[in-house]
Amino acid sequence: MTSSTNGSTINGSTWRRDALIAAVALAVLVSLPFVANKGIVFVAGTLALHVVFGLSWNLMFGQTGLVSFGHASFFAIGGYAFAWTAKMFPQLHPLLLFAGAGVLGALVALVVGMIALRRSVGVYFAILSLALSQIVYLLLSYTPSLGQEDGLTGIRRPLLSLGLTTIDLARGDNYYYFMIAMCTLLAIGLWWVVHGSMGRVFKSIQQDPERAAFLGINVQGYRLRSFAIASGTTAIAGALYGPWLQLLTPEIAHWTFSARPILYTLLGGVQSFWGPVVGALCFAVLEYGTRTLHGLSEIVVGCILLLIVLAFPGGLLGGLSRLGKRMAGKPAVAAKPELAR
Amino acid sequence: MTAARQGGTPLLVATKIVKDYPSVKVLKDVDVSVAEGDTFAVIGPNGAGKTTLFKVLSGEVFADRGTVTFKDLDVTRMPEWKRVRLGFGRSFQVARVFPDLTTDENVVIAIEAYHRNAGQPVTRGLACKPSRETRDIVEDTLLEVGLIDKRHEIARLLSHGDKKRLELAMSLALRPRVLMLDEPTAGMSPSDRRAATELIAAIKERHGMTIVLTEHDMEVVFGLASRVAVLHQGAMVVTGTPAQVRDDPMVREIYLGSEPVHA
Ligand SMILES: Nc1ncnc2c1ncn2[C@@H]1O[C@H](COP(=O)(O)OP(=O)(O)O)[C@@H](O)[C@H]1O
Ligand SMILES: [Mg+2]
Repeated sequence: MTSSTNGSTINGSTWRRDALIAAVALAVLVSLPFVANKGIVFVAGTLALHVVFGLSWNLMFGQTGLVSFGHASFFAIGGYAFAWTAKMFPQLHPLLLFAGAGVLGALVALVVGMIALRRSVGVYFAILSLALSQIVYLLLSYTPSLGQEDGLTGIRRPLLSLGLTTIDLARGDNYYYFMIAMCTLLAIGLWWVVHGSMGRVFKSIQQDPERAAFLGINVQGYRLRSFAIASGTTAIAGALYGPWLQLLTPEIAHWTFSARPILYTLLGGVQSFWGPVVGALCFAVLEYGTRTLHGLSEIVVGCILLLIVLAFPGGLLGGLSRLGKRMAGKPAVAAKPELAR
Repeated sequence: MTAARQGGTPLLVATKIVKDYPSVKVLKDVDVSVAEGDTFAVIGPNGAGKTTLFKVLSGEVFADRGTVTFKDLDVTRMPEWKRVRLGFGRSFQVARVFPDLTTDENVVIAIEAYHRNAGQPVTRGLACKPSRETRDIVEDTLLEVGLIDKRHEIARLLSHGDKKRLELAMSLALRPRVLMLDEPTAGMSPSDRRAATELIAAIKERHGMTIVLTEHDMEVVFGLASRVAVLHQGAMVVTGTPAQVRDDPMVREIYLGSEPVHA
């Protein structure tokens, strides 16, 4: 796989292509409430959050080579932080609360990362991130003010005052559009990080941390940064989730939810920025398509995913790019996703 | 046995370095003093401990005992990335580049690291692309090491010699005070070896930095070095000018064989 599929910003051609893809995707999402039923709009809104969830996980894995098994804990931290503060301090501006949830997620990541990233061994970080998600899960399940196993219910979609005008996010599809706008901003932010000079530092660390250190790069510091950025972003996605569902349960901190972004990334392709997007879309379509197959749904989805991963070791996009190269007559380069060192 | 130094302020000094691995004592009380402007060659048979000495000097591993100072600053326990910021640049015995990135991306990362370490802005405003200045330096550096035609190639696919050139370009981008090269011509054909030797000499001429290198090939060593140190079984046996080392009877016996050496 060439680097031009991921972050080769030297020729500057990627941003035009990516802006076009994003514009098409946005046009579809924005027009959806006019043409599709409520069920599909709900799936699409949830998908937008999952896309941010997957993209931020791959900021760690695809860029710095960090494997986190506990990314859902930050989704949950953001979700509960927003829902709880919105209930306790209804006078505060919702944008402030969303930002606060993100900052909290990033701060927790900084503290955890300072311990978990001290050793350069990837497995150490993976295990600690899993432990973190278990701790968050248990804390949420046992804290009375957070509803214990029943979670938080009746989370309201807030009023959004924008100076000149106030939008009631509880009306019609307003919250859906608000979520799409927020997720777009978060995705643009992640794209910018991946393709800018910080992304180049991350990439060098993923490729060979020791070599990077001999360029004067503080490897632990940058790993910590990627962890904090990914966690903060995911916490904001989690914060958006509460009012969307109007309900939060500790399940969103469960390790099975942490497996989602990993699955999205492997399904879509590690190497490409769009990998987790394609993976999440694929997953949502499969889930929606099999929703009536009671009891069989998981098995069917699981089998199809297994087939895709076996057929395309570099993910769907990896497979596509190899196919494209073969058609163009260039020799195919085997996909080889680098694991954390 | 150490020959008296002539001139030049010591830049990189290691004193009584001891380094053991579980099964072997690799370095035994090694002293090194590299003066500003030297081209300092460490020679010795395979397994003598040259690479380990390099690792200790550059911070890849820490010495068990002894001290390393750079510009009179004690760096014995300083991590490698901080030493780089003081002015260290190094290559590896087996060239290490970022394999899935292109040649120019590899160099961009090094140049941006240099600017960032020096507290200078890396890109303009919110731009993702490397700055005009960075791209100019990439071009200069790749021209200098002779890789300009391969700027868009994936580093993994470069030949062994070209990887070494790329590594050299990355080190140069850091504008180091001391450039450390571990076997810069290892595994090269005689003609590549000559080209590499000329390249190093040209770099020295142009930038004037201090160079520390290890080398197997005596022609390369005597062609480049202003001082030579001989490491044998983890101990420094002789340090001196190339002529002094070449004529040292002990060196002939343990390393060069009893044949006289032709420079
Ligand atoms: N990481 C290591 N662990 C154990 N032994 C090592 C390690 N690195 C080097 N050695 C041993 O130390 C000795 C010196 O190795 P090295 O410094 O690579 O020598 P040279 O570069 O002079 O060939 C060798 O006997 C080698 O086997
Ligand atoms: Mg060696």
